[in-house]
Amino acid sequence: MIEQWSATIVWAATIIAWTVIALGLAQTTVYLAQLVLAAYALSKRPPVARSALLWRRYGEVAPPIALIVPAYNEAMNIVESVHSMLALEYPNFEVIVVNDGSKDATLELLVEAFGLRRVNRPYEEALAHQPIRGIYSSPMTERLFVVDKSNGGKADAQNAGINVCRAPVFCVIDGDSILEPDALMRAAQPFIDDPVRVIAVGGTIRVANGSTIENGRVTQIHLPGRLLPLFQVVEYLRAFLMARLAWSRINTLMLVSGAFGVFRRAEVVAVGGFTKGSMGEDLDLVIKLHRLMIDARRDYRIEFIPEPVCWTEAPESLAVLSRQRSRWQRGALEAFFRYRSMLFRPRYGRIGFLGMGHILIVDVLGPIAEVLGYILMPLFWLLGILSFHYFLAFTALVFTYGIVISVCSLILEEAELQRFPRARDLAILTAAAIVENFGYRQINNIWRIKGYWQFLRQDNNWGEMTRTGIAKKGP
Amino acid sequence: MNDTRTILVCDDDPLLIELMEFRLRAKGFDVAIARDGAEALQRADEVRPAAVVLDAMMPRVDGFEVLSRLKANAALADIPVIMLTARKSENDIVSALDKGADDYLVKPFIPDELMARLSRLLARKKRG
Amino acid sequence: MLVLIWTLSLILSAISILVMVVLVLRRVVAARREERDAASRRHVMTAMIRLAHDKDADAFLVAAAGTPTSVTADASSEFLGLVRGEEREAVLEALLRAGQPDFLESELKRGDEVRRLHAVELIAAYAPDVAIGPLRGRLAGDRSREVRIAAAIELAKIGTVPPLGELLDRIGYRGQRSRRLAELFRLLPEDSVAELRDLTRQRDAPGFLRASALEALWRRDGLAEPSVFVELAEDAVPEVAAASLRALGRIGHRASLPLILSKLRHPDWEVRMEAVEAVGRLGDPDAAIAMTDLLDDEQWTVRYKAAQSLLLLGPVGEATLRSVALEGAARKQRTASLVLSEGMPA
Repeated sequence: MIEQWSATIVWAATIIAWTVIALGLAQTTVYLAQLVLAAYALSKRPPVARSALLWRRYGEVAPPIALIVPAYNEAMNIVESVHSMLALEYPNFEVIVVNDGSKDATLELLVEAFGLRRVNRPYEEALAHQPIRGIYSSPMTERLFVVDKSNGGKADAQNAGINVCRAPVFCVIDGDSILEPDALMRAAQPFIDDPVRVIAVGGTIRVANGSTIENGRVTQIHLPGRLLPLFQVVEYLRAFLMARLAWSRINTLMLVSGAFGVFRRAEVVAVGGFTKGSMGEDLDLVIKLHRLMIDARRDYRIEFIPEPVCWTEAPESLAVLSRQRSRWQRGALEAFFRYRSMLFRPRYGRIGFLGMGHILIVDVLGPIAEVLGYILMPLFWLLGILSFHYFLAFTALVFTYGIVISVCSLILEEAELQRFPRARDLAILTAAAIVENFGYRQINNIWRIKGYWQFLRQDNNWGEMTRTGIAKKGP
Repeated sequence: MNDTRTILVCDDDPLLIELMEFRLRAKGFDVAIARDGAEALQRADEVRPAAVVLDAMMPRVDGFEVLSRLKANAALADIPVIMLTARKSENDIVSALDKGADDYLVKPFIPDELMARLSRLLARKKRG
Repeated sequence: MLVLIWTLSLILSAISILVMVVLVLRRVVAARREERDAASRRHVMTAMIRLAHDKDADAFLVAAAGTPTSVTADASSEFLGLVRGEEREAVLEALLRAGQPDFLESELKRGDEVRRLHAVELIAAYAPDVAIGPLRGRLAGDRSREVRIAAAIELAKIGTVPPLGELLDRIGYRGQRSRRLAELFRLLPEDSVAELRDLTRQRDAPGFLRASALEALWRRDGLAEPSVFVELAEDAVPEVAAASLRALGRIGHRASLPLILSKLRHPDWEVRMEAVEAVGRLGDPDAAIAMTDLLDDEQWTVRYKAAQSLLLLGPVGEATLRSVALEGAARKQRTASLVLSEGMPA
């Protein structure tokens, strides 16, 4: 009887172990493919031109762009942010700040700083959102509009901004994003080169912690001094330079970050704008765009530009970071299950197989497999199912492999962008890429499992109505 | 009316600043420099320059806003402002003139022309 | 198996360490060079500023001789982008004596795409006898389409381009839709107008190209001949029909008003929008009633444009809009009153 039991246990354990290993292998393949594709994409892509040249070259033909900035309780720095947005280098743009029913003095400060007056501005009610209480303009600059509306969350505010904007192309950013002065000029380039097919463009987002920020611009780039943001620098490099670049190369980019994304208005309106009440509304929107274009059998491109266009302040405390990561995980799960019918449907071709498959492996199954691995490997060893030598060897392989992937994404950074000025920074980054694999990576998985748990419990308790500044999606 | 010989140059391009500084000094002007819009407003208030050469695209506060703030300030409104910018669309030019710009030059520009326009504005201000 | 796994781990670690060392070393060397270049760049920039003022080429040549040619090229690109007129010519003259065009030509041959693109734009600043040869070479044989378009644009600015058909073949336009092509069309010299007109009529050419050619035509004052616009307003490709209607409105071709009015009911909304805008620009008060229908269009952009165009008609249009705002059907009414109140303090 007991023998039978133990045989069953061994049998089950073996199956589980092999499943975990198979999933690990699948993830490995995904990362390796990303690395190769990203390297290929960068080699095909010409090096970065200086922004003064871009202005001379493309200034005449650049499309009008509306910059949509949702703001909820941003009184701290809204005026300074708006100033630096108005100072962007682009021939033809407007800034639409959407005050999402802030409880603080966000609106009052704007009114005072820019001498805002209420105006009538007819707009299309293409997307539904909480009522707009008033639209304001400034006598000092024609480029600024402020929309005051009842609170409805970030997606709601963005939808209102999309309604009010008149430009054919709009750019969504977070209230606390810091844009490079030439961000719009760079992001507009795909819309100039291929105006018929390009419907969305994402750009690289960098961690601003540690860098010197003056006048709403990043003036000197430094690495953060603290460990937690430093790990996030490595993560962002990997996520943007490697993953996004690779996926955009095969036109299967699934996520254009809400911290900086440029979209063609017509298509976004056609899919009903941002989905409200969704955790990862940026991921959700891009999947909807893919579905729309494939359903309509239209040829289209969702592009990614590797040049850094936007800086963001990464969480410095474990508690905030943990909340952010759980939320990202929940957003990915929500989007995956909402659009699960696209998975492996031949009709959706590369999006159904590669795009959704990637989310399935990395976001849906990935965290579970990894945590199971951490629990089962030592357990099997203790139970004597796995020999100590194999246990050690497997563990070593997992870690060295993770390190190689991180270090290789640094090659991409060095080969093309070289944004970190000092050789010392590079050495620190490499060291961080190694250390990250011991501890940080595991904690991250715990947060993701927490996100999983919240998703399964359908814990829709946003707390305070999604604070717009935080509800962003990074890597 | 003060009879300062100081010209305030506001631009974030180091080349333009060096060029203007050299040319203005050669003509016997003093030069004050601002590298962003907020600094421009502050320097204008401190220095009370004879004229301002103003770029449109600067960090912190953009040139059009600097212009309207200068012209809205009774103490500074008389100072002639020449816009010198790469923005050349009709809208931008009209908007700057609406806000009270005394002249508008598009980059690339002819430095001698800028000097001549500046002299003319200063002479007119002295007479007026 | 065990040995294999361990070997793999060791190889991976070795790769990481190697990569790290190489990257850091590379960076140390690059940082040194950058520092040196920045200093000489400031130096040559100052020399250029003085040259523009003093016209003393010899003093500049001394400064340039002590500066890497690539740094001088870089500095000159910024200077030439900032200054025009006689002073620019003086600087170009001195740069020519400093051997810059030779350097640019070698960049054109050996540089990567961005450097070639940069060199194309820079060499175009020099006198035509220096610039045209290398530019033609790029247009004919560069492997990057971006560079070929840039060369074509610079040649068009100088005023010497091959016939349009050959030009487009060289660029390889089929399937391409860059907005830069539209710019190229606008810059083409006057003797290319006939060819542009032919291009607008080529039914097998992409709609985007034909529309761009139409736009280039009406933007040339005095050269716009309305017959092609009238003809193509009937074109089956909506993009082309819309561009033609736009042109008719912009050049103020009143004789085509009946034709434009007939397009107010076109199935494609962009065509309807251009038509109603053109009617507004032509300013025929009799058209006001026909335009009010579009205040109820299914597309917001068309509704909005219709109301704005009514305002363009002057008092009659405004009166029409007011009466609709008072007693029209719901959506018409709303559009009209919204546009009437636009920009006013609320």
